Amino acid sequence: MSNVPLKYLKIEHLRGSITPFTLTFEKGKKLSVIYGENGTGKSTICDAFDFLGTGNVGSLKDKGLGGRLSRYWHSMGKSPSDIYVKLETSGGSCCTATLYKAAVVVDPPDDRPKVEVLRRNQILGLVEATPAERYKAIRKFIDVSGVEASEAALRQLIREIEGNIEVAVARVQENRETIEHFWEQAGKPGQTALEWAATEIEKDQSALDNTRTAIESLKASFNRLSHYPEQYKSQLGACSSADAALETAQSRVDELNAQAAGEYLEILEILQAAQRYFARHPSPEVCPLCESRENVVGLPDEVSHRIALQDFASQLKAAKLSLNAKQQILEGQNQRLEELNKKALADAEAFALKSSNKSLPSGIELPSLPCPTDLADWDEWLVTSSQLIEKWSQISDDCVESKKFTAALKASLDTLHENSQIQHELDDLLPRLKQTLDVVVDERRKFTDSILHDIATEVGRLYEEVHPGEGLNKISLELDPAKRASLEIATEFQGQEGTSPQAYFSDSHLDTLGLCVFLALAQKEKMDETILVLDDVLGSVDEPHVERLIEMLYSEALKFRQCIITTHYKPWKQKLRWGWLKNGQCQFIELDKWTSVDGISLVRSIPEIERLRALLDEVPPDPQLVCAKAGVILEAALDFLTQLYECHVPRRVNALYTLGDLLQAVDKKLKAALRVEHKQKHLDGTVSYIEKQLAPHLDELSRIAQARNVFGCHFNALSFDLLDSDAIAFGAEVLVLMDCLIDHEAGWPRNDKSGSYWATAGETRRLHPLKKPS
Amino acid sequence: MDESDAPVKTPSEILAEKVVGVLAERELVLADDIQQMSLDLAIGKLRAEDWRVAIEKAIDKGASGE
Repeated sequence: MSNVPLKYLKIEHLRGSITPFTLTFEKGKKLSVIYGENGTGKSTICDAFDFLGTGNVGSLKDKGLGGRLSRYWHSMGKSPSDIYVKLETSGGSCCTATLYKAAVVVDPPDDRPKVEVLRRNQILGLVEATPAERYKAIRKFIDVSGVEASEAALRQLIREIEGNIEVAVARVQENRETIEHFWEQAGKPGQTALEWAATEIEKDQSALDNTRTAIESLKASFNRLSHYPEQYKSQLGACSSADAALETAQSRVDELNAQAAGEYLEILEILQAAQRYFARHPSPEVCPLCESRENVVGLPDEVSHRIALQDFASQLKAAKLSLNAKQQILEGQNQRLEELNKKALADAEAFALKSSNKSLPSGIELPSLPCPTDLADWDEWLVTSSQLIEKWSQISDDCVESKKFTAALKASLDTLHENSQIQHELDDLLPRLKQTLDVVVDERRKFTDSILHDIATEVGRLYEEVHPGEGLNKISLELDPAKRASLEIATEFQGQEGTSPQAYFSDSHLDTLGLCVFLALAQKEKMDETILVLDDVLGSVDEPHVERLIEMLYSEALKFRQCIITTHYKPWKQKLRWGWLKNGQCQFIELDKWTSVDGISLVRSIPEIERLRALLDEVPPDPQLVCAKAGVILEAALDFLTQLYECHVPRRVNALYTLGDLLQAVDKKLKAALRVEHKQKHLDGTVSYIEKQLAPHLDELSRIAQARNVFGCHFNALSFDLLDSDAIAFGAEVLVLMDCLIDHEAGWPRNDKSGSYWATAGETRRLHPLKKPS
Repeated sequence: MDESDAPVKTPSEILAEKVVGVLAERELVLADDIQQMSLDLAIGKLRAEDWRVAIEKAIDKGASGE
């Protein structure tokens, strides 16, 4: 983007430019008024800027030509690739635009100028658009969607924190109730549940452990004792059995010994003698002892068998061995009994020791001690103490429960503290988050309101310049808070605020409003880099306002890089021609009739006074032409003065006045009072005024006015008698009068805002008096 | 860089600078954080946790009396 002044625009084969057309911009003139009747190519020039700056040709929009409008962009008989637009700046840089495959190619792309185009058919767009469409047009100035997204995240966070606080509060309440419940279970000791709980969890839990250990140890010890009576009985039985076995064995030995003391040995000797005999006589026929034949068969075997059966010695030996063994068994059992006694007494001693453990709760119930020394008495002793085990178990279980209770209490208290801490932190955080959100929302609203207010104020200011004192300047632009991306436009009408202008304004007023909105928006964005193109926007503006609208456009145009205004409004041309409008920064361009051979072409357009000056400068000057031109200019000046001072002139049909009528209408008093102050700017920046009287020039012109009639109007033989110098003098005097009265850059003094004189723009000329002297 | 060559700020960027300036002035966030915060705020990247961290840092600094 650049703000370097433009040098020329060249258009080839775009729309009406069937032959290359070049529009040269005058140096130092930021406003270019392009005048031309309909069909002269004004819109093509606007299209060229549109094409270059936005890649579009807006004049074809909304004309029912379908979607692909680029097919109509090129001139008749040419192809799209023939389109060529070139813009060169006074700095020497240039930028071109061509069409390639329906896409506009700008070279170099970085030099593409910023162009804003407003066309006649778009002028009501912003005013009559729906609020949503209006928002789209203005969105780029107030689009803070990035901040809004971050703002939404902040809102979400606040909702989450609020939810978290609710949870934390509920948990704190729940924990308090749990602790209260524990407190109630404990009988509500102390002042409050929390104090009690705090004290409770500080208690030494090892005492409970010690107590429980002592009790469990006592129980185990007692359990061991409880087994002794059974063991004792069993051992005692074993001893008795061993003793009985010993007695049996002794009896057997005694029995065998008794037998040994009787006939057993003698019989054994007989049997052994018979055995020896049968060894020699293995088949005796009779018993060798009784010689009986009875039972003799198998007698040797029977003898041997009886010897074997009646092995007394071995029996005795075995019986003695058995006796010995039984004796040892008895001794063993007796020894075990003795050991059992010893062990029982040792355990009893250990139990007594555990019973005196200081970790045991005071008052714990214990069996009578010492325990009986005779195990035989333990059974009875134990039976009397058997119920103690259950009591001790209960105490032990109580210890466990007490620990569990304390642990649960501690957990509840810890959770309470934790949740209270969370709640506290969130309670600190939430207000700050809300304050932060308030700041974001407040700043966002102020920001957008400020931009909208600035735009609306600017629209109102511009509007007031065109419609001063009509009370329609209080324009407001407001974002509808209920609907995102919706922009309402309103004004004050007949004292009623918030009125929709579309409902009450005339088309002319709405046109002006639309133009003002467009200008106000265009000014919001790098206007010194913007080429502003207003294509025939004066269409429906009524005569009383058009001049002020032009004045407004003049002053606003200077803020932009370049302003191009096209118009077919002929009075504008005439006013510029007559220098009625300030034209210091204005380049007036007139287009000739478009033809299919030449395309767009220019008409050389020179202000009338400059034409007179040029005629006078010719060598030699043409008296007739000088008089004719000077006469018309003098009539214009006198018309201006007589209207300004409401002078009396003869009333005629069509309000046609002669030069004589107008000269006489400026009476002596007025003539004497007429003076013009010329502004002088000094090098040090100070300003002074030089006063010039109009009377001498008017008097002189009255004297030589006949020259105009003689030379300037018709063929007149009288002109043969007059000197050409008289005619030239007339022209020169008119020029002096005009140089005295008007500023060729700032226009005619027609502004009475000062209240004491008429002035041009910038007060370069001050015409006195304000009113005609009575 | 010439001021005229500086990238044009978007409305979001302009607003974000104003917002963080006020937040820092009211000690709702730390002055050290506002530069990055402004960038993220403008492009919609300031997430819920970012807001929380920024505010908590300011609370912590206030609590520590720095």
